[in-house]
Amino acid sequence: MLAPPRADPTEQVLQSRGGDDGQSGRHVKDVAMTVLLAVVMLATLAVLGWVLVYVAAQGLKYLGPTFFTQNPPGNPSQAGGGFENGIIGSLIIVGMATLFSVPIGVAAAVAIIEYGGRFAAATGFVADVLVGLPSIVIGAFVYVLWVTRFGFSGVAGSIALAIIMLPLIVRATAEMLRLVPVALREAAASLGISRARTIVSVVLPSARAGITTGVMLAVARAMGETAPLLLTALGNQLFVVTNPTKPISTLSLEIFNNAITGFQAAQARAWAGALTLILIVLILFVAARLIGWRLAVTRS
Amino acid sequence: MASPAAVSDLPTDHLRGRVGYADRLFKATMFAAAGIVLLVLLCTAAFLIDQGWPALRHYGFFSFLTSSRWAPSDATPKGTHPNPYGILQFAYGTAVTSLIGMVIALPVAVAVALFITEVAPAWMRRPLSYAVDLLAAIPSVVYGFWGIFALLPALHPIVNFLISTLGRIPGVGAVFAGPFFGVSYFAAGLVLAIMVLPIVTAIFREVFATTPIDEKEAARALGLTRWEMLRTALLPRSRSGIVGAGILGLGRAFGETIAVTMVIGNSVLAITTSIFGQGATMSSVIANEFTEAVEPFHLQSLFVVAFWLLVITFVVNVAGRLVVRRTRAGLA
Amino acid sequence: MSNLTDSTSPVVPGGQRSTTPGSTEAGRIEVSGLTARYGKHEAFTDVSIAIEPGQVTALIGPSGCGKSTLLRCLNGLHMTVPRASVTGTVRVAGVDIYRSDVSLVHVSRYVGMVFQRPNPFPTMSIAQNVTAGLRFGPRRRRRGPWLEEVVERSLRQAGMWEEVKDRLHKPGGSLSGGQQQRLCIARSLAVEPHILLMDEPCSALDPVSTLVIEGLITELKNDYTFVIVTHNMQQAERVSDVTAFMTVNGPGQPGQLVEVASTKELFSNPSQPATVDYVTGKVG
Ligand SMILES: Nc1ncnc2c1ncn2[C@@H]1O[C@H](COP(=O)(O)OP(=O)(O)OP(=O)(O)O)[C@@H](O)[C@H]1O
Ligand SMILES: [Mg+2]
Repeated sequence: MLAPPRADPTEQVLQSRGGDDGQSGRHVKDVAMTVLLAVVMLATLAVLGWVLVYVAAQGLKYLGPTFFTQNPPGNPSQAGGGFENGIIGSLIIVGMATLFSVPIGVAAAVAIIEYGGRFAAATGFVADVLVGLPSIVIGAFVYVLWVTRFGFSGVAGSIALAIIMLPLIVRATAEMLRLVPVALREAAASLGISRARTIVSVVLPSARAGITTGVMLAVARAMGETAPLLLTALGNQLFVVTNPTKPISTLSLEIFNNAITGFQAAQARAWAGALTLILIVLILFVAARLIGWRLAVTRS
Repeated sequence: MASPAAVSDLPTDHLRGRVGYADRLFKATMFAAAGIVLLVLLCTAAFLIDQGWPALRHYGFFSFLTSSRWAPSDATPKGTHPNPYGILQFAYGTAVTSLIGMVIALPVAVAVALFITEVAPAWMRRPLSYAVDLLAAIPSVVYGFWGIFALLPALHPIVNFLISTLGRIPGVGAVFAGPFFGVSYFAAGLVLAIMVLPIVTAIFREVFATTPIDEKEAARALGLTRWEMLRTALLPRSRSGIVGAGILGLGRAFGETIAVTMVIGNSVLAITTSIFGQGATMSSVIANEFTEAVEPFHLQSLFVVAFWLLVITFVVNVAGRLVVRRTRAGLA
Repeated sequence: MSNLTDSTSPVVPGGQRSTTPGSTEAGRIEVSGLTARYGKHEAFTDVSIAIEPGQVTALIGPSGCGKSTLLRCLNGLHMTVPRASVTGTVRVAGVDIYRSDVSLVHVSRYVGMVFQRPNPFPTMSIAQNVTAGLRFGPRRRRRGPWLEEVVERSLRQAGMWEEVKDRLHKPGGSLSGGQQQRLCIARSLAVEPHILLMDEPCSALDPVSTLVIEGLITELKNDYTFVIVTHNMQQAERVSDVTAFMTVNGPGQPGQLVEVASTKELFSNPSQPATVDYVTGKVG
């Protein structure tokens, strides 16, 4: 039922339902608003389409198999070359960031949901706030934490990305743990299974699909991060680096550095890189949604 | 009452130690991980202020906030007056670009969320929300690149029209004055609008979805049209949720770096009054100058910028979270 | 039936049920002066009752009188609810389970539980569900051929071996509701408790499955002590030896134990007026 404060405008509307004029006026307004909402929705989709199609069109001009097997030329104005260095660098840095952030993030979510208490609640709130922390600030933090001591390196980059992924994973995992029925925990407890065992062998497996979805979305986010890497992994390497204690270029850094040069050849490479990056992110995104969708289906 | 045999039957002793120990170790590990999350935030604040400290001490705490001129080449190891590292124009740039972004994104997000939750047929809802979410998946560097080459050229005719109309109005005209070179606060604001749109929309969707169905049905049963139902039953209930989402979107816009850096022009010397002029934001100046900061107190001053950026986004995010949480609790 | 148990139980190395099942102190629960709370709210006060070994005790009473809470106090599960507390004692096999050094992990070796809604572990197969308590519980037997023996024995006890023996590796959730509930019973039996607590085990099931479960209880009651909560008076009459009637005066009030008597007597000749009203269907 409508509560009094909300009922007021309702009554006005009802009172104004006198003649046919009022009626049709109301319906015209209703249709007009529906159309307006639909137009805004379409405009939003159009922007999405514009970005995707533009990047695809530009990227396809240059993207080819050699893009993945060659490094950028020493002179950026020179045509040719590819982003093998950046692609491998991204895999290394994001891979390491995932290794750092997933165990910590999942464990923190377990503390928040499975154990609770004041400290855990504070952690949950801080995770929420961390999501909104600018990635450049995190880059500056890791610069102090790591680069001032050990120099620019892939490790520094992966720590920065791990910090960016951490709150995303905490939130996704916490949300999934909340969905696991209490009945399962009680069944386990009544079988004499300890709290820790219950979490490891009953609760987390039940939430596995959802956690995987969250991790994949976090990985997609990390793949595209650029700003914090400028301060940590540095990039600027024109060859493949696999030693994570050295500066490493990533796909996103290569796109940025080539995009802002002003040379057409470099921009062509950057577009191909942007298309590659979008494809990687899209694949992760779609895979994550598929897992989430399968999860929703099996639950119902 | 129990026989002694029965008491010994309950084998507490040999079990208690082992099981309890493993359980406690596990719990401690989980809380240690939670502690890391807390530590990250605390350490970030502490480290940034620690690094910025020499510059703060040298020039004075507030001298950064009272000047809008950032001229590292004027800095000397000795001189303190005037502070060559004024950061007011960056705060201004961050505020203006984010405001432009939110002014555009908020109404669009409300409309999109309403369309998805209330108007679209059921089968379209999921694909539509995925499409909007996809906007959030596109990396920032791609938005910046796209902004330079696709958005800026398209803006020229529109902005030139605005300059020749709004720019003529006495008083506020200065805000819309030319010349327009493409890269500008306005362009950055537009890109930010696109980037925060999916985040804000997602929160709106959630907020709208929490309005009880029967309340909506009651409104429809009274003979209200869909739009009247939205206005009378849905939007008033969602007001604080909308505010919270707006604040969170703002926090996100404040921190966005690479895309903004690519389309804002990076002019650091003063505040540009016109939104069609060039400028810089707190985050863009850090990204731009960090690895080339060689002048005295240059790097330290960038850490001062980073610290203030942290403070601002922290406050905004805490405020937004609190509002959203209260809304959720109120609706639950 | 008892044949079956006898022939298969020696398979388990170091099986915990060393004593003759169903007839010893191990199957006894003594509750005295028990009050259970959720935060400040008292679910029931001052309940004293002795659950006799080898018998089926039914808990009946109107909704909200604290039957489920009392049942969950008998194995300590009540204490897993945030801010829940108890005063008074519950002795299982002579030991107060609310002593600070006794935990659910220990009590579970004596007391098993079956819930209102079937709750098999969704990520585990049928066989894994049955052995979960053994694999993850205090005894920690991870593998070995004897685990398969336990699966067969427990599923046979739950009367569903023939139905599922060809699909032991299918997920537990792939069974029908009634089968899931019997799987949960098998899962509890696998850890060889002496007592089985059941909270409205049939309320989510169809009449046929209900009869199957009742049949199971009758078959197993020689070996196990049962405490069963039910809203179904016929069910209480059919399966139980002893019936305890609880009631509550109004919402927000604590529940009370009104009377405990042999089922026959309680239904034919109740001593308390409240019990008369309830069993004759005047209230509740
Ligand atoms: N988790 C809980 N938190 C707070 N109060 C609870 C909780 N569970 C039960 N209660 C309260 O404790 C009292 C007894 O509840 P209980 O579930 O034991 O009743 P019941 O006899 O099993 O009812 P029913 O026949 O409906 O299952 C009720 O007043 C109930 O509101
Ligand atoms: Mg109950």
